[in-house]
Amino acid sequence: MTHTTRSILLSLLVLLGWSSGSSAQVIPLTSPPNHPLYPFVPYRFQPYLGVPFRGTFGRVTVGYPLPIYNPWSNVPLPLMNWYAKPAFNPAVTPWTGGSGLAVSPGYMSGGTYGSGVVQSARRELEKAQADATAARLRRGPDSAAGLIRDQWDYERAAKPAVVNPVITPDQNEELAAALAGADETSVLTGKTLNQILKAIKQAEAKGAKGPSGFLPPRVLADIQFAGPTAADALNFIRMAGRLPFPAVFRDPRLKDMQELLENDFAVAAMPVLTGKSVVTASMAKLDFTLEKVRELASTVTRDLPFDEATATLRFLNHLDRAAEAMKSPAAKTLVVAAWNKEGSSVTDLIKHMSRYELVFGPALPGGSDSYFALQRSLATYLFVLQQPKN
Amino acid sequence: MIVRLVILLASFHATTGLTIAQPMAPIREVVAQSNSPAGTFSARLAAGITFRLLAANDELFSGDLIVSLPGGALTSKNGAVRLKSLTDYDVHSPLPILETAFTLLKAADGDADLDLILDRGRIDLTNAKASGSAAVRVRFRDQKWKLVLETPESRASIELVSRWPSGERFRVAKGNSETPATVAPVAYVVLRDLRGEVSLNVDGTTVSMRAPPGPAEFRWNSLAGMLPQAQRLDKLPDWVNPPNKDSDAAKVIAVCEKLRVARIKDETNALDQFLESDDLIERRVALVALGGQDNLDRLITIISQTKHADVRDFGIVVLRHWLGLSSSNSQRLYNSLASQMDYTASQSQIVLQLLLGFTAEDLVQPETSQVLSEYLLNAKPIVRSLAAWHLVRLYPEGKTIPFKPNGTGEDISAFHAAWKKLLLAARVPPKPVKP
Repeated sequence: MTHTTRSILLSLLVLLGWSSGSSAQVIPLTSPPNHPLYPFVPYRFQPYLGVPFRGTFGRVTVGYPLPIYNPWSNVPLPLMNWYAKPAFNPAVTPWTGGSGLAVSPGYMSGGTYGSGVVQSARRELEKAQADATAARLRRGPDSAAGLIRDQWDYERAAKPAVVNPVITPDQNEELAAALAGADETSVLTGKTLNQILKAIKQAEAKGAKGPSGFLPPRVLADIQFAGPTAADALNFIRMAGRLPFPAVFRDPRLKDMQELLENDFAVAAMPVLTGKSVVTASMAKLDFTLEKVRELASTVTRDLPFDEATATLRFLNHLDRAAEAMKSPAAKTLVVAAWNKEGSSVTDLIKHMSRYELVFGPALPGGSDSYFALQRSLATYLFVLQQPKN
Repeated sequence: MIVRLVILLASFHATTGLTIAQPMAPIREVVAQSNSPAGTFSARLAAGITFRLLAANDELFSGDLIVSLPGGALTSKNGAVRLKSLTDYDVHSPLPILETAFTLLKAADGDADLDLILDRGRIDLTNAKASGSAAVRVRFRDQKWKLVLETPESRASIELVSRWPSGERFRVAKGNSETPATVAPVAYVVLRDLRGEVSLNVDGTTVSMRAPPGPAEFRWNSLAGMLPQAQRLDKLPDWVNPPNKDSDAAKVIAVCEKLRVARIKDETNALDQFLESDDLIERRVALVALGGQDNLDRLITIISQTKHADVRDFGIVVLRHWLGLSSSNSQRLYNSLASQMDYTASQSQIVLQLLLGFTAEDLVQPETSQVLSEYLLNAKPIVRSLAAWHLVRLYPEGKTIPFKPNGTGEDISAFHAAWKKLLLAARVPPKPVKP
């Protein structure tokens, strides 16, 4: 008699001999932990033909494991043909509702079969999950209804168009994320760097001191600054002769102006680069050229797609602000000559930025490596500052 | 010889393959009957581009896109379900409903009494059986819901609204095709039990609902999916009850009835007459009707030429509403502007981006206001109108500056100069206010 035939016959015998009220079922068995073969993974999951009933020791199923995927199917085992009800079996445990709660019901097994405590806990869990989902859908910033309602309000001019964000960010969480530097976009927009910069300034204000890392000229050259007009001046002066003109300057109406503007700016910026005041005549010429470019740009931008048009005006706005800052007496010390030759320390960079109230701006294309290096240097410096004093 | 045989076999195979590959035309069958007077419904064939007005108590076919005036009613072929269109032309709903449109399908035997794809708007479903339950299969986006109206006269409403998130960037599809973009407008659906008991089956999950006060509201949205339980409603929404005689809603219904009658008499000119009407509600209803029937060329022309500020203002809302109905509509409008309306690629892109609007980050950049100001000098009146529309929302004090979108060069320069002066005096960008 083969093993399969023996299995079927034994199963039929069990079924025939069993009293009414119970029915044979193929149960996707998960062996209970008290089963002798439980440690063997292949044995843990297999079909089982059996009849469930409530016995003295809890709910028990008598039957036979069908020998599929069972490497020990030919080994006679005395305990093989019975087991206490598995932790989760939808066929015989309607109360679980498919939640998959791992509860062993056998005698002294520590299980709490169908107890009020378990059901109550499960209800609480489901309620909490439902409430969390409801909250996410109702008031999350990405809530679809909210997005559509905002658009509808804008269309009807029912509310002011520019509204402050409601969410107050957790500063500690933000700083932790900034130090981890996992969000590359945040690093490249300068947001991450500014969060660390703020924390460094706070630590320094409390008297914290420590050695800081070295920033090579390449990294310093790639830093873009934001904030007052001095930031634009510092960005553009360091790029004099290779200004980042937007694509619109390839337009025939503006092409000639690009060279003129580039030259006029380089001439005006030259004294500032060498630590001197600007020459009034050079500045006047730059102002005149800028005004002319603005007029021409106006005729071009009105026909440009939105993103190109804003990029053009943004470039001209920054150039205007740079020209304005260059006229200030403070511009003489704005550019640090050593940055191009020797590099600088993080401490000196922060000191210089603080003097002009600068913050970090978004990186230009090609500047990403420098921004990631800068993020690591700033994070390390902050770590040093936060170490307890001996 | 062998070569000839191979060619013969290949050609036979190609011919046969071509025949087999022909898509099966969907069978167009009567699936419901209108219970409304002539002109209430207009229908477009699945592959068609024009709408035709339906006659009184007309038969309604599967596959047609049906656009309805307020109150349009129909009964499923087996008489088990009544459907009524509930529109919101008076724009008083917290969400933009405007017109209603749906496509009826042939229900599979034993699956449902009525099967439909809700395209937009709000419909009201009632169990019209003398006894027993009635089932409605409602589809939208990738969703397939089964709604069971448990008892006779059980009633539920379902509404679908959608919009592009503000500032979504328009990108021209490759090859000028109308291939839907990978991103889609945000959609929001609300099912409400208005009377009796209703059960809803979504993806194997059954949700039982009861009319207010009780678990009467079920929501779904395209960003976060569904909340797998019905929300409690204490009372029915206001629009369930007939509007007061003096309310805007009642006036809208009266105007819609007037439009229905006018379109039966003279379908070609009825909308033009309404657009030129001295009555604001008539103009508004005509604009919704134009958008509802995809009449974009006309809509853009009217926005560009109208003497009524409200037509320009609300016409842009209708265009934005239309864009939000489908991910492919942006490209359809772009193609239409570029190929049929003599717009350059750049001008078409400007129009699309101005319709899609700006992100919160864009609005706080001074360059956004500056570019909008420059667009006031664009050669196309629709670009000037859209730029002015946004500027007024950013700087409401500019509402009083007289605007003639189709005016002379002097008018345009004067309007631009007035805005430039205002922007110089105002804080650019506008100061954010507390929500």
